[in-house]
Parts: sequence; C-alpha cells; structure tokens
Amino acid sequence: MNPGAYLAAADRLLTDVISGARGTWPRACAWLIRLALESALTTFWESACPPVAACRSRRAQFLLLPRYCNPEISHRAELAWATLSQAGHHHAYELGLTAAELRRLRDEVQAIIPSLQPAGARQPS
Amino acid sequence: MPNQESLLDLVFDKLASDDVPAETAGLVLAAYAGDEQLAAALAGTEPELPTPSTRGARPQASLFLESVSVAGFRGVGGRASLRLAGRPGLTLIVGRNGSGKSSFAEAAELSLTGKSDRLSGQSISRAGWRNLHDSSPCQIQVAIRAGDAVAPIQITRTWRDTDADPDLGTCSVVDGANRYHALAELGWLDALETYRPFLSAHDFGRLTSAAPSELFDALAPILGIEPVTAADKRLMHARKLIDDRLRELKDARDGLRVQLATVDDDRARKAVAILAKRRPSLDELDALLARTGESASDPAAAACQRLAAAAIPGTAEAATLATALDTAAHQAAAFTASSSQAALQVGQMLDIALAFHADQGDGPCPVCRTGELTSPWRTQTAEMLAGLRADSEDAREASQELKRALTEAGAFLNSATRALPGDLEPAAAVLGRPLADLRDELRTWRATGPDTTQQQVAEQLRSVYPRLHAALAAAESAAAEWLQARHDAWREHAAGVQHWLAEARRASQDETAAARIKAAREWLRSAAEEIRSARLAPFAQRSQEIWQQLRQESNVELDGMRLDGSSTRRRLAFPATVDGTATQAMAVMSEGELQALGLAVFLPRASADDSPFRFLLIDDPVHSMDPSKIDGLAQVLAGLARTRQVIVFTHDDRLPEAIRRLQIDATIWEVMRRERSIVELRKNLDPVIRYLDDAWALARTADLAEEVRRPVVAGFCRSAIEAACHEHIRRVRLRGGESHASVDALIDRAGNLSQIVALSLFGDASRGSEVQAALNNRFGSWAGDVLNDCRGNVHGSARGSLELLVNDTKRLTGSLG
Repeated sequence: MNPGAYLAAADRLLTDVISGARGTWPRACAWLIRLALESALTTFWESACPPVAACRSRRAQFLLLPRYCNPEISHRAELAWATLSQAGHHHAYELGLTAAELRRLRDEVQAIIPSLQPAGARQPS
Repeated sequence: MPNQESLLDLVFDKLASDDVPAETAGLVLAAYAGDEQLAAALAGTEPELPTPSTRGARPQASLFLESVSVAGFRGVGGRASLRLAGRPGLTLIVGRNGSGKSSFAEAAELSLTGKSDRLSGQSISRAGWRNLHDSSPCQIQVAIRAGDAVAPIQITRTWRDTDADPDLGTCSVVDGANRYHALAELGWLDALETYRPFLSAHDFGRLTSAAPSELFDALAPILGIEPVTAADKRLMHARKLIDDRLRELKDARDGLRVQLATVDDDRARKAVAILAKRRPSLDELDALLARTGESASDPAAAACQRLAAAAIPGTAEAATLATALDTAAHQAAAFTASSSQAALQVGQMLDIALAFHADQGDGPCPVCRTGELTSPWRTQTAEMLAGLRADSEDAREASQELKRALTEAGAFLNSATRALPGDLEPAAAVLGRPLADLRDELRTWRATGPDTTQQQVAEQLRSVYPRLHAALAAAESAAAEWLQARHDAWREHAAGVQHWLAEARRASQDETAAARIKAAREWLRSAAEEIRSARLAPFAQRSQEIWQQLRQESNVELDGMRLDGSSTRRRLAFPATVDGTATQAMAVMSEGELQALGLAVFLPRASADDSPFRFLLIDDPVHSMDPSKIDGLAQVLAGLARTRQVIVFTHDDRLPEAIRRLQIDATIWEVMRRERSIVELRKNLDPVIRYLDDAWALARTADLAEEVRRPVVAGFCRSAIEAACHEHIRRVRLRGGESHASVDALIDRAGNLSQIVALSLFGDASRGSEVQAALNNRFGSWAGDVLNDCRGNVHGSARGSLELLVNDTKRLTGSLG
C-alpha cells in the first residue's frame, strides 16, 4: 500500500463512524498515519540508499535520515513518527490522541511525505 | 521603560509635523513636564518646558541567572542548588509533580521581586511556604551576572524561624564591593514589574481571570509611553478641576434663581431673567447691581415711598385749635343777639337823648312824656351808656375772635389736606389693611364740605383728624416696613448675585483654559494612540508568530492584539476569527489554547529588547496544553533561546521528548525529591550523552551495512566530543571570570574538531596540529585514533567495530570533560 492509501483510510476513520471501531479508532488511526509515514520512508531509502531500506530498525533509519535528506524535515518526520508510535501502543492510564491532534499529525505527515526526497534531488513541492 | 528621552523626541517631532498651534503644543509639553509646569501654563505664565534631548539611551545591562540555591523553602528541605549556564540557551527542569522543581521558580521570583504571585494572597500556600521537613534556616540565594561583570551579584534572602510570612525576612545584596540591604538598590524593581521575566500558570490564568484593564496595565508598560499617558492624566485632572468649578458655578446660579424667584422685587425678577439665559450676560447683571438705589419703576414702591414720606401736622396742634375755637365760640355766645341788639339800640337812643338834653336842657321826656330829663338823669344815663358801650365792644371782640379761630382752623385743615399723600392705590396690594383703613379715613375726611359750622370744624379737628392721623401713621409705618423688607431682601440677594458675578468673571478664564485643555488632550490622545500602536506593533507581531507556532490544529485565527481605549475603558483585545467568523479570542478558546495564548502574549513582554533581563523563567507552560502543541512550543522556546536564557520548569516528559526529537539544543535537569524533602538535581540529556546514545543505537544496528552507518556514527561521536570540549572550555573560562559572550565567540572561531579540542586542552585553538600527539601522550593511542576516526577518516580505519568507536568516544569525552 502506498502512503496515500493509508492516509485515505485514516481519513475515513477520522470522518466516518466505522462499525466495530468504536473506542479503538484513534489508536487505529494513529497506526495508519504511521504506516503512511513508514511507507514513504521505505520508498525514500529504496531510492536514496537501498541497504537502509532493508534495515528493520526504524530508529536507525531516522538517525541516518538527516545525512541523506533535509535535516529539518528529518527531525519533523522523526517527531511525528515517535508521537504516532507512542499513541499506537497501549499505555495504561494514558489517554489516546484527540481527533484534532490526529488530524494535525495526519496533515503533518502529508506535508512531510513529498519532502522526503534525497538531498539535492528534491522535487518542487 | 524603553528610553524615555526618545519618547519626548517623538512627541516634539509629532507636535512639529502635525502643525499644532503653539498654545496647544505648550500645554502638551507642560503637561508632559509635570503638575507644576501645567499649572503654570494654565495660569498663563511661562513654565519651564522640557527640551528635546541629545542624550542617547542608557545602555542596559544584560542580566543572566547563574544559580538558584534553596534551603528550607516550599518543597525543598536541605540546601539544593540549581546551577545554570549564564548565557542564552534553553534549560529544562523536569520533575514529577511534587518533586520540588517549582520551588526553584518561586524562590527565584521571590528573591528578586520580594513577592511571589503564587504565595501572595492565598492563605493555604502562604502557610506552606516554609519547608516542613527541614529545621535549617529558610534561605534563598540567587546569583545573577550582569553582562561582563567579573563576579555575579548575589542576592540572599533569609528568614528566621519566627518569620511567619514570606514578606518578612532579610535581604542582602552583594554586588562586587557594594553591599545593600534592599533589592531596590539595584534599580531593577521597575523593570521587574514591566517585563516580569517570570511566567507561571498564574500568569496564563490571568488572561481569563483578570479584568481587561489589568491585562492592559500588564502590557502597557512595555511600550514605555507612560509619560504620555501621565501627561494626559494631568490634563484630565486639570480639566476636571475646571469642570468642577464650572459645575459649582452653574449650581450656584440655579440656587440664586430659586432664591430670587421668592423675592418680590423688580431687580430680583430682572436678575432671574438674566440668569435664566444659557449664557447670562455678566454686563447686564453688573448694571443691575450698580443700581443700588430704589427703583422708581415700581408703582407700589413709589406709592409706599410717598406714603412713607408724608408729614401732616400733629394732633396736638389740631386739639389746641379746636379748644381755641370752642372758647371763642363760647365767648361770642355770651353776647347773643337778644341782649346785644337791644343794648345797641338803647345805647343809640340814650346817646340821642343825651344830645337832646344837651341841646334843650332839662325838660320833660319826649319819649315817655312823663319823665323829666334832668342833670342827675344825665349823669345816670351817661354812666349807663358807657357800660352799654363797653358791653357792645366785648361782643364785637368776641365775634372777631371766633372768626379768627375759624380761619385758623380752616387753614390748618387745608394744610393737613394738602400734606396728605395722593395716589396710594398701587400700594394697596402690598400694604393691605392699614391702607384700607387709611382710605376709609380719607373718605370721611374729604366728605366734610367747605361751608361748615364752627361745631363741625371743631369736630373735624378733635376726632376726625386724629383718626386720620393715626390711620396715616399706621399706613406709613406699614409702608416703611414693606420698603425696608424689600430693600433687605434684595440687598441680601444682591450680595449673592455679586459674588456669583465675580465667580462667573473668573470662570470665563476657566472656559478658555478648558478649551485649550480639550485641544491638547485631543492631540495627545491621537498621538498616544499612534505611538502606542507603533510601539505595540513588534510585540503584537511577535505574539502573532508565537501563536502561529503554538496554535497547531486550532481553528482560532488570531488577528494581532490591541491595547484599546484609555482610562477606565482600557483593555487588551484579541480580535480573532474562528473558521472565518470574527469573535473575541478568549471566548472561544480551550484551556490549552488559552495557555498558548498566554505564552503568545507574555513571552514577547518577558523577552523585550529593552528589558535588562536576559533570562526568563517559565513554570509549567505545558500544564494543560494539548500534546500536539508541544512541539510548536519547543520550537518557540528554541527560537527564544538563541538570544535569551530560557529556563523552563515542566512536570511531564512531553516537552523534553519534543526537544530531543527536534534536536533542539537544551540542557535538561531532572529534579527528584526523596523522603524528607531531600531534593536532588541530575543532569539529563546532556548533549554528550545524547550524541553517544544515538551513535550507540546506530552502531548496534547490525542488519545495516557498516559503510552506511559508519559516517553517521562518526558524526555523532564527533558531535559528542565537541560538546564535551565546549562544556569544558566554558566551565574553565567562566570560572576564570570571562564573560559568556567572549567565550561563545572564542568557541565559534574554533572551526574544526582539532581546533576545538586544542582550545579545550591548551586554551589555544591555533594549536590544532598538536592535538593528536597530546591525546596519545596523555590518554594513550586509542584517544588519538578516536579523534582520527571521528574526523570522518572512513578510509583505512584501523579499528573495526563501530561499537568500539562509540565506547572509546565515551571514554574520551569522560577524560576531556
């Protein structure tokens, strides 16, 4: 699945009431947004440095990112990813993200994805 | 606060460019200069006016916070110190709720301002300001360094066990060789009030809890247009005094009108007519008052005056005349016609008989023819005739006497009639009964015709005249009384009118002064508005930028901030739109958004260019903030930390997390509180540790080819070494008395890794070439190898594993630091 498909699925969770998703949709939505980001990241590494794309550690991928990509975008991407990872996992006593926060994270990820281009080869946005 | 000389220059320039009339401009400047000068200008004398300055703004000291030590205060028991790098940068103090971190923020505020907003006014917090677990004396010590000063300023506040209130306690300030016992000596109090480098939940709460005018007052001082508003206040006060006087004058006028309306006097009525006009003619009033004599135009008064002036002969004279008349009449009555006529004829006959006897001599009586005319008869008859002649003379005299008495009485009565006052009718209304009585008597008096008998005349004199006299006297006294009363009433009120007239003449000066003040205030208001907006603009812009970063997904669109109105209608306004609909921002915001707005409003103030405080303490800015706003906040703080020493206290991990993720340079201290309030501070997220941590994570990622990872791991290791060197250089040099600015400049100049290490090792960046050898000598060859590997010498690296590189880097940073 490409990032766009994941984001579209996340949108559906944000806007529609999906039967069976009551109460779990914020977490599911966070997962979907995170998947969109990770899918874009994989695409990026496949073209920028294929061995990294094969690496299972996302943290390592993010640590390497500033070297291959605009550092500011890299840091934003990493923060978004960390926030989504945190929300996607179950934490006792911690409240899930609100719809507004999810929407912002979704918008942030959507903004980051086109910028995930190898340094020097960025497409005009 | 911001230099006020330039404000005056601004006022001068505007007065000139607006082409303000000299009179108005003079008044504006006098009001600017002070109360005395304004009073002088209004009184028409030349006040001493301020002149545009040529002096530049006073350079401000840049104050940085170096440490906060606390003992026995709030959540801190035994002495605990927070050591801070006294330079721009971001420091986070992280601790769970109750760890005692806020105690440091409060202690810093309390020691600098002498009061803590959180402690004041709340009896519960007040009671708990002293730590319960520690018996050591309660003490707060703050070190602040001003610019390049050799030693920091030490501010110590100590409380004895008996001091129940945080306001008590003693303060001592050591600034180099100077020692003070009051904070005021440092001259910071105004600036502390104006810029308040302390932000707490309390401040954020003010946005919702405080009156709009309080927010206005909290922000207005940063604009430094106080002198202009003070000038306006002075003018307003002067205007109020004048208005009060004018109102008093009008009240007095209304009072006079009411009083005068009750006065039955022509002039009073005239005065009322004059005073009833909107702008009474003072000259007419003056003319009215000038006529102090009686008015002839009032017929009643004229009649009364005639009456009062009347003088008729007394009743005693009338009585004398009446008696004389009676006596004469009585005398005349004695010679009544019966006796006197016969006696006259007998006399005439005897007279002829005597002449006959004298002619004929003795002989018989030719009348009776029986008697004899003889000499004895002649003698007898001659005697009798003499008696008869005397009697007849008496009768004639008595008759003449009576005639004269009558004439005299007539003359008297005529003169009395002539003396009677005429045309009394107009006085009838004011005199009433006495005049009616008088008129009755007059009617009786005049009813007596001219041809009257002696008895009637006597009656007139004896009874009618006294009654008339009495009635006239009564009417006279009534008229005099009325005239007197009328005179007094006017006199009394005339004095009041005279007083009012004098006041009114003075007030006409007041009116011109009021007009001048009005003109001056109008100009000043518009000028103040303009200067205020101009000076607020950068702050509003900054607020706007901060809000943009903090708002995140909020649909509240902030449209700047404004300081609206003046005096009692002043307020801080945030025009906003929510999804395109205009509204007031605060009405539509969640608590978290309000907190963000609070930061947007107060951060620009606390970091104003004109503030001498380069440090800024923020207590729990993420308290109720949405998690998603926190990375925005981290960026705002990072931006601020480029030029300010930003110290943030926070109770949760979200802000440090965002800062870590966004690779924002920050020093993070963790505060932990053990049993019995023993507070410990531990450095967290030391940049050295952070770089090593990242390097380690990557070094351990075995499923990735090493040549991909190596440059990045080497980069992290290099950053770790640099960070360790920076820390060492700063520590050594700052301890040696160098300023942060100069140390930072030194570090900036050291470009490559060797130079930085040289600066740390030898204190000389230019000895970069000696570094490798020195490291090998001092720590062993591994140290030189680490440096070599970190410089990105990918090729031909002798050492194999990345993990070893990270471990050795760790060792080296430990040795260098």
